[in-house]
Amino acid sequence: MYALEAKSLFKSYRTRGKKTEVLKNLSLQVKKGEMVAIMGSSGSGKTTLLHNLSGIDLPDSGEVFVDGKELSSFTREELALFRRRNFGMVFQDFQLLESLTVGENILLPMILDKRSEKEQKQRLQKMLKLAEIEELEERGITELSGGQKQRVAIARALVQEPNLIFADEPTGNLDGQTAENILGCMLELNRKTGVSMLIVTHDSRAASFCQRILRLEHGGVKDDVL
Amino acid sequence: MTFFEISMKMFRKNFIRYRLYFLGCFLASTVFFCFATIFTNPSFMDGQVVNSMISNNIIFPSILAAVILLVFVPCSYAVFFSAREQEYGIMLSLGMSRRMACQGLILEGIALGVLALGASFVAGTCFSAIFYAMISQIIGITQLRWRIPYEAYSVTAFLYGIALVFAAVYTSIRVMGKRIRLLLLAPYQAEQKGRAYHWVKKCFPGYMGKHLLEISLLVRHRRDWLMRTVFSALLVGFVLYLVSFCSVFQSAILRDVENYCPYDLAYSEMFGKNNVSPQELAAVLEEHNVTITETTQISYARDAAFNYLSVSEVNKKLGCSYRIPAGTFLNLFQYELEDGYDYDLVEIPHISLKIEDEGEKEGQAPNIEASLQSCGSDVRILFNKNATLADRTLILNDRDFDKLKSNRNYWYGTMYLFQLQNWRESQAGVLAFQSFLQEKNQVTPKEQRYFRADAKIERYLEARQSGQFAMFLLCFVEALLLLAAFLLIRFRITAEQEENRRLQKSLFMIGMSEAERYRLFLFKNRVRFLSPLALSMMFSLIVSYKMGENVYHSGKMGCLASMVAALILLVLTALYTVFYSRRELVCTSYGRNTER
Repeated sequence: MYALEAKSLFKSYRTRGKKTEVLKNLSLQVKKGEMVAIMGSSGSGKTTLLHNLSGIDLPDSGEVFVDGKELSSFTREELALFRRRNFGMVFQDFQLLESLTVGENILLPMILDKRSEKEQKQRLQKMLKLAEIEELEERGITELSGGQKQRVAIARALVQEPNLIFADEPTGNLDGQTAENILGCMLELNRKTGVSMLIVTHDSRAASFCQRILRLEHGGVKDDVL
Repeated sequence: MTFFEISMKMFRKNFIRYRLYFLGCFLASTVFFCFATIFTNPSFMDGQVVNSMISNNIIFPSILAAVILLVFVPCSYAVFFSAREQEYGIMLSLGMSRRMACQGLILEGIALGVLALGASFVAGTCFSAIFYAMISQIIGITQLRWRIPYEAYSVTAFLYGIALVFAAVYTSIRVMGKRIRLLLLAPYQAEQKGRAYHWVKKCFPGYMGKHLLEISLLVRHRRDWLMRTVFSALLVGFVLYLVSFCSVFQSAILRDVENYCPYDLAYSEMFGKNNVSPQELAAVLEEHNVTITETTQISYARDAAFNYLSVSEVNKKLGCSYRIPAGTFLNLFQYELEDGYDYDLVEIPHISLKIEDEGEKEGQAPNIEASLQSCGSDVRILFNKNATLADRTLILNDRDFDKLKSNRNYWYGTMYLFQLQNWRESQAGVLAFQSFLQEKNQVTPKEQRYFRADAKIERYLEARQSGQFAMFLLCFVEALLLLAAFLLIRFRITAEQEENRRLQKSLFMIGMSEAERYRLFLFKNRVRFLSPLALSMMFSLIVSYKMGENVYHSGKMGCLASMVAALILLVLTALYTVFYSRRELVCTSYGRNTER
């Protein structure tokens, strides 16, 4: 059984009355513990694919299976719960809440899941250590650099110990050295925890950290390179 | 840490971002509450305590304030939600359920709304005391006693509750329906350029090229801006119309007083009351330096429905030239047809006069009914109305009138009409005469209401008070409407702050100076704030002229008042945009994260 499997995904948007097909009969599989990069030129549908695979958006047709469960078979509430417990999300622009501290941002998925205080504390310390941001726990988001913010976002994605992490251009806003550190950190997490990762990027250096590279073109998978 | 604690923290941290929502709700409910303290005050609405001409003026402004409250709260709630869209998008992407998001958002909105309502009750209670003091001291409605009826709180809370619940339900539907992807992208989304943009670009390529940046700022979120511009133009236009209405209304009701009071003082001797001779009146008035210049005395008969006057006396003493044959009567409608009200001018076709048979013994019922036919009607104000007169007046042939004179079925009296040397300074004299009448009649003040003399000065002062009171109340409504229009624009600009910050960063990076960026922001803000004003000016000038002309025949005056108000607003707005653009430049400058 695959950690993630997509079958014949179709997705289109309507702009100024004109229909644009972004995903056309796209299928892919991600094994458990696999780190996969999705590459492609701008507008090739990378982010759309990620949103459809992670349940943030729904495809027009096709099926997405996570651990054998089809996402469209869930109700909205069930999907939210499933995503909370099984998925971790990392966004290019971090999507951190500026009104909360670093620690609170990391704990947010656990708070939403009503986990106990004790469990929250233990997991927070573990994540801070893992992302090497222990000294930032009480800091506000606005006080952080881009690299630090991305580490916080990664720690938040991992805090629930998900089976799958979806990362959308996790190094897109970062300088070369910080990007390398972040990717190294993700690779290490992948090895340590066995979490599957799907990373959208257009940076070939970032993709080189992954075990497999899927290249998107015209709404479908052009290459699947191991 | 629980979700509730996190929510509370986010709520506290974000409070400064919600101040406009809070302020809007607070002011809308405070103004309505102040009005409610007046219209729920039983003594104010009692026609025997406060003249209904004054008390009725609370109705229109209160309805307007209620409508503003009902529209304003849901609108500002929607804007409040827009400010939180991305945050909720993030939480939904992390696995928060829609139900939780709705609950959180509704709780926040309602908590803030209830806080605003509580604050408005506290402030409203204090303001209403000032309100009453101003009404009493400045406008001179001294009969009004300050008290806060329980109903004022309940009516305000009820209306506010309806608006808040509607807003919460509407927002929930929006949250439930909006995709997470769109919520996450909320601060980055800009609408596509419309057909008009492409058309202008094609027709004026040079201009578009030169002002590319300015235009790009304006076409951003064009649909939303178009809706806001039109809506705020309507609000400001309505304010300008209200200003013109106030000026026209005030002069129109004072003009009406002069029209409806052809004599400066009038009273009737009837039912054995008001048995005061003109000499006695002159003596009372003299004590207060008021001189009578002309006295007219007319006898009349009346029953429950009509006043009956003889044609020869009317012609002789009131300067008319009616010809009424025996067996007929003239319907007299004492109305000013151009005073803005509608009147029923339906003639009475015939009447039956009960006439005692001269052959019958005293104490016996009448046995003759003389039927008179209408010979037409006239619309003209011949004399002042007073409490002793019936509502309608018929003018009879002298022969028919004489039959009523000695008839026990009709009351017979004399109307005294006076012109004074300077009626505007006759208040003290009139007041003394009213007291004199009461003493003479030996009745209670309540009973005296039916025998009061009608004085032009009293009516004039009441009308002036009424106009001032209406103006005073409408000032608050106007301020509220202006605030609503302002916030409508201001909320949107605030929501675009993140985009402006990114824009400033980019412009800074490509070497645009601060002065150049300031000019860009100034241009954008001028168009944003001034275009609704320009639109509203056009709208209000036409409406003010039309309404003023059709209703009060003072179209030019209304138009002028509206134009003056628009010009004042224009200058103030232009000054504000200079101040605000500078502030926006600083707030969104590169490196700053939050507006301070």
